[in-house]
Amino acid sequence: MVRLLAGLLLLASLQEATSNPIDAYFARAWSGDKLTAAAPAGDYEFFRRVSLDLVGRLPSADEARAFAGDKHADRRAKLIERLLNSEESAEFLADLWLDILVDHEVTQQDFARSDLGPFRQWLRARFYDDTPYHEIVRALLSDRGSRREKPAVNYSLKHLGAEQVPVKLAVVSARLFSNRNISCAQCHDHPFERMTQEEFWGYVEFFRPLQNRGDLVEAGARYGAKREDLGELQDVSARHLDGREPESGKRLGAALADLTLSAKDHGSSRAIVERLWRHFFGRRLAPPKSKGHPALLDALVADFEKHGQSLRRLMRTIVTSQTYQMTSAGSESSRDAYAAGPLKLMGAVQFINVFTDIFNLHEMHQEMYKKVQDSTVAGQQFKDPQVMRILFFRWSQELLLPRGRDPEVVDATGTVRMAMKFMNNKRTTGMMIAQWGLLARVISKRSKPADRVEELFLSLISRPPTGEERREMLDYITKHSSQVVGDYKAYEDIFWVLVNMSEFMFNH
Amino acid sequence: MKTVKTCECSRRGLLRMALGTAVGAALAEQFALPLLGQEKTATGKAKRCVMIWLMGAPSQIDTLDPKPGTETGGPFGDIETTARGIRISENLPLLAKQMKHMSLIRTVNSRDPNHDTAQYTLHTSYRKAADVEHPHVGSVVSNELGETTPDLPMTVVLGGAPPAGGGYLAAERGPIVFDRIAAPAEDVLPSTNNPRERLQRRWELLKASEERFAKDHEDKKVEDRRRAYEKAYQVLTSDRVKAFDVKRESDDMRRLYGDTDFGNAVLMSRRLLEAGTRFVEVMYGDWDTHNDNHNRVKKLCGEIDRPVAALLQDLAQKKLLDETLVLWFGEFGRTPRINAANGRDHWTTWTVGLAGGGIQPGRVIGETDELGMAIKSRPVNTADLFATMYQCLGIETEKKLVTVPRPMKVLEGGKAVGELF
Repeated sequence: MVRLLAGLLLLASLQEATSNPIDAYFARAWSGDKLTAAAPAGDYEFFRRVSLDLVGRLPSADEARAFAGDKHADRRAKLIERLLNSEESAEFLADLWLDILVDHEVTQQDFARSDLGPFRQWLRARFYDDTPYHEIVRALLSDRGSRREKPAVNYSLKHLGAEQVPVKLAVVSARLFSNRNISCAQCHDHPFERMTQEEFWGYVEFFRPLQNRGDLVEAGARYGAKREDLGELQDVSARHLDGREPESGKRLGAALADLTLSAKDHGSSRAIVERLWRHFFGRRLAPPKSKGHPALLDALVADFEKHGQSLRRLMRTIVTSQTYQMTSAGSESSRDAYAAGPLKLMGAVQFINVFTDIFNLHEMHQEMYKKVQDSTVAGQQFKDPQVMRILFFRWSQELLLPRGRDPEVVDATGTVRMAMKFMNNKRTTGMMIAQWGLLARVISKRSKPADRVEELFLSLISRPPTGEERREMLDYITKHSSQVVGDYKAYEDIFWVLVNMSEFMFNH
Repeated sequence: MKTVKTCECSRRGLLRMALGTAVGAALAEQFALPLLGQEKTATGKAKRCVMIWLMGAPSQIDTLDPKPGTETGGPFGDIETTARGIRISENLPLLAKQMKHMSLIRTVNSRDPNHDTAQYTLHTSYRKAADVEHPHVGSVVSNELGETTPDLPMTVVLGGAPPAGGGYLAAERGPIVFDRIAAPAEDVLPSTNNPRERLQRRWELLKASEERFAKDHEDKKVEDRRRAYEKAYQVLTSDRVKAFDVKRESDDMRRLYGDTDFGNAVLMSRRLLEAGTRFVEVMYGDWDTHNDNHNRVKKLCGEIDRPVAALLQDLAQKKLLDETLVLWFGEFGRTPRINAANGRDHWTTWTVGLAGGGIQPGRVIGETDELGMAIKSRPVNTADLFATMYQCLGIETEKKLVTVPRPMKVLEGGKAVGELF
């Protein structure tokens, strides 16, 4: 409570100074450190960044041209509103959250275990309507019953796997909704989280009665069979991470949601503010045990709670800030101090969306979709377009990204393995050809070499080439093109270069 | 069941070998016990290592620690092997013929019955922690033994995604992961639409653009990515990349390994190690047999038996086994009791196999009781297991790999299993 008050006070003082609390905070921080903030990002740079961050894809060449040609002073604010309220944004957030909640690495068993189609649809609708975040959390933790009528139960159903005790569900829930990493306390008392094994198992108790009987059921026998591997700890009773016990007579799920959402540390809000901050800035705002900006985190948490836990408002606060809108050109140390714009590798969902466009995977998806629709053997569940979307995603992921990535870590795209995959793999480089996808579109749309080069630059790195780059590319085309009609090998090479560039792979 | 030579004997043998002279031997008689009490004498015969990682944790009872005819034994019998006194499950007839090269630790144990954290521990030797990422054991090995060539990755994982990367070691020490068991070399070998000359031409054009972006964005992330690309390019354009091409082996050799996805991956691991790679992990299977254990294990054993046996036979014939440590690994074992779904659940005592690299073959360390429910003698914890591996490779476990964010040793605790040397 004290913390929230401090946050509110800071928030009040920050809001007095300027309209954006983030900018006000860093203006103070910089004046103390004598730092100079980087220049604002140009329109091309900003448009690319905010598109990737809010709708998870790149602007098309036409969109980029139009935005850079718009001379209205409010063009950025208008763009942000349009993106925030778009269907596309809800789709993107649903995919991100599907990754975070149940991860896209779904197997046949997962489809038998849970109904992810209605779940994705449910998430999508929540984000489109900007449902208060606490309502989403409450449904995920306490809804029970039919996997189709209460789609939120699929979060638990997916995690209720082969384990006798739903430890994984408890660990994921603690991390997502209480801002606590408790996984290590399962086996030993945790040195950093100051958590004992007893506390760990006390939290797990909230999930113990859950059973997957097709629908999610909270079985009557709260403590179930005694577990041999718990040893002395087999008699622990349900307690939340802060030690509070559930109200007697209340269903454990409802009690868990109450306790989670009323925790004094505002863990649920802190976790989501930190998550979104990391989404936009590629780093945590107040990492534990290191110097960060806990006061700003407090202020943002206070603002979030004061305004009905609107995710859209929180995202708006971030992307309208000058802090977010600075150019990313600059050194790492200035970025560390938030005196240069964000620079991060594309996340998995963005990456897959981007390549779905570039490689025209839509076409393959539609073919697959049609096959399943016409199939007499495919289960009814797989005819759900939402399920197909999940399967497309999974399939693209298999094609484009190494397996086993952690959805919370977005650096899988910067590895030697990814370099080899995009420089050399025959399936990926096999799609970087003149007859296919984006390159085919560009070649048929433009006929002059210089126009084609410009179109490729705008489509992939969202800006026109500089004079030097234009010359370099045109020289290359002249040097490496034969007189044969339809020899587009040089364009394929330029295309290959652009998708392998850091400027392309980074969201900057 | 016959276990092993006494500790005493092997300690002396070890010291004698280390000193190598009659005078040494005499000294050894006098000083052996106090000197070797610390067990820190590294033999370090192994120069490389291959880890066969059985994903999902295989049933020890249906593989290397059979309990035939008992209530926990399941439907399978046991068979004799070429190592006197060692019997293994009938599911592994070809491996049985190569057991003379291998030793078993049947009492590896931990307290962690969860896949993700246990996999992490058996890949890093450390428990998962919130504040630090530990490196893959293969990264530690290549870090400590050094690079044999810049043209190949020193640590490679085939067929799956390991739970650890380079951790706090330099980014380029991280394992290079080829997770598609069906085509691990697809990313590496040249293809028709991207022959080497074209790759080189494209690379030259890419380099200029990269420099401009790096100049404006002086950032470790950009630098790391640039280095990853340079490393990748170097491997792709080197002659040694042929090590990934199992088609260069004779038909007989490919048949020996079975010419299946897993067989070819194991064969590839041998080619990579020969060409200079320090550590290869081959991941395979879904051994998480909570249901239908017997049929599933039988099928999986049928898939791995030939390649693993072939690897031992092949390395021995090529006289490479002494310098190559071969590991049969998983994150834990499975319950002796068979559950209602004819499956076996998670169990934290299991069997690990080790061969080559200075391991004395044909030994069994530790014994589980008749039903496999309890450890009867010589428990070995996971730190001891890693200490044993590092001793084979001559890696000093007390060495601090980094000091930031806090000092991290190669291994925390752990005592090598002296009876294996």
